[in-house]
Amino acid sequence: MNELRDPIIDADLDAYVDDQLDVARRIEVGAFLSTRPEAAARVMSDLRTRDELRMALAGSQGMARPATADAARRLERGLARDRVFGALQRVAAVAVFVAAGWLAHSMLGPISVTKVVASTQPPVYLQEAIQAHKTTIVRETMSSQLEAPNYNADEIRAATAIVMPSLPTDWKVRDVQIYPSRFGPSVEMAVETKDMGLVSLFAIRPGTFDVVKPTVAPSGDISSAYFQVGDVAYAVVARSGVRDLDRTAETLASTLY
Amino acid sequence: MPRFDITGQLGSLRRYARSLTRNSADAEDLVQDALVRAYERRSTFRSSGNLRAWLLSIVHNAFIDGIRSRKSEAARIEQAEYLADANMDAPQEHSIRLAQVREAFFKLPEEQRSALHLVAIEGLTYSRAAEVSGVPLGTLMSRIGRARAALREMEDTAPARAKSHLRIVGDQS
Repeated sequence: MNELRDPIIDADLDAYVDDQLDVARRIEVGAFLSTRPEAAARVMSDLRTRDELRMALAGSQGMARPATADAARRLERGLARDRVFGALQRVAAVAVFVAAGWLAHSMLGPISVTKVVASTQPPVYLQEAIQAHKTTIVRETMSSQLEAPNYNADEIRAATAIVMPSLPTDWKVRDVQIYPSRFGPSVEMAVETKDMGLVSLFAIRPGTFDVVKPTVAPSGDISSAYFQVGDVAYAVVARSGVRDLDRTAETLASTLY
Repeated sequence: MPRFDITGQLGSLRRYARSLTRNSADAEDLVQDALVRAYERRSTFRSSGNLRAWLLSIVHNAFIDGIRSRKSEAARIEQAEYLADANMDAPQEHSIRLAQVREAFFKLPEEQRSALHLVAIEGLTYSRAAEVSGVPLGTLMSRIGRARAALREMEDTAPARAKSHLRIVGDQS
């Protein structure tokens, strides 16, 4: 206390009461107070008032309403959901960077005009989905090919680690087949729908992790929509001219979150 | 317990809302309003951030906006400090003194009440409290200083019965 330190000002005393000082400064303020009864009395009085305020304002929950608790729980769920989605988006962003690096690397070969990969280019698995859909139509016409209309989403998940979206209630499952594919089994479902006729729902592991929003890809006499959630990609395939395929895909995708 | 424990923060939010509105029913309205806003603006919450500070700042903004849109009710809010609140009964032996402290606290200007509450009641750091109320650090600290000075003044002019029941040993006067 003989040395000249930073002068202790009123703000320091407040900070002392509010416990906002680091230990070194706290010691300095303590030393200052120990020689100044007036200031020390003020600090003690402030501490007392602070504690009394805490007590006076505690437990004032008399007006608690259930609606408030409901709003709190809704926020909890919203934040948790966003967080999962945010994490997926980050992972997807990383995947895009890796893919971009890969692409750039592969383009460093001989300088030539390479194929432009436009963002609208449908993914490779879409071809498999369309193939599977065509196969299903062929199977439909053959009486010797048995259909397996018993659809058990839990069993599919247990066997293939593919989570199937929840189907609209008016969809009737005609056939469920497991096909081999490069990154593990894929699932092909034939579903009878009221508005769109025979529709295939195809799920596959494309070997990449991504989040792709439902996208429509018309091709010839078949129209399809695809989306990806994490490491499973889905495609909905129907005959051409079917409208609302994007809406259908969105409905299916939303059941996966 | 969910990963984002909002329910566990309700006590904090209600306390702060009560300090701002000085009325339990208005406080509950404010908290509910803030939770709805928080849901709509949940994308502004950074997962690395402090959940309680984020929620308190939304309560704070909801209150400020409420004041702006209800200027006509300013008189009612001014009156609120005179309304006794039956829900606030503290243990008997301290109740008079606590009521006085609370009354003095509610008489502080809103900005001082807010600053003191965030730091002294909720235990936020100065910088976090400044963030919550959207003011610079220095402003927050000076508000706390003025709030404390006002409360001390109340102390000095408090009725004699609120004085300590302990006598100073050796005091011969």
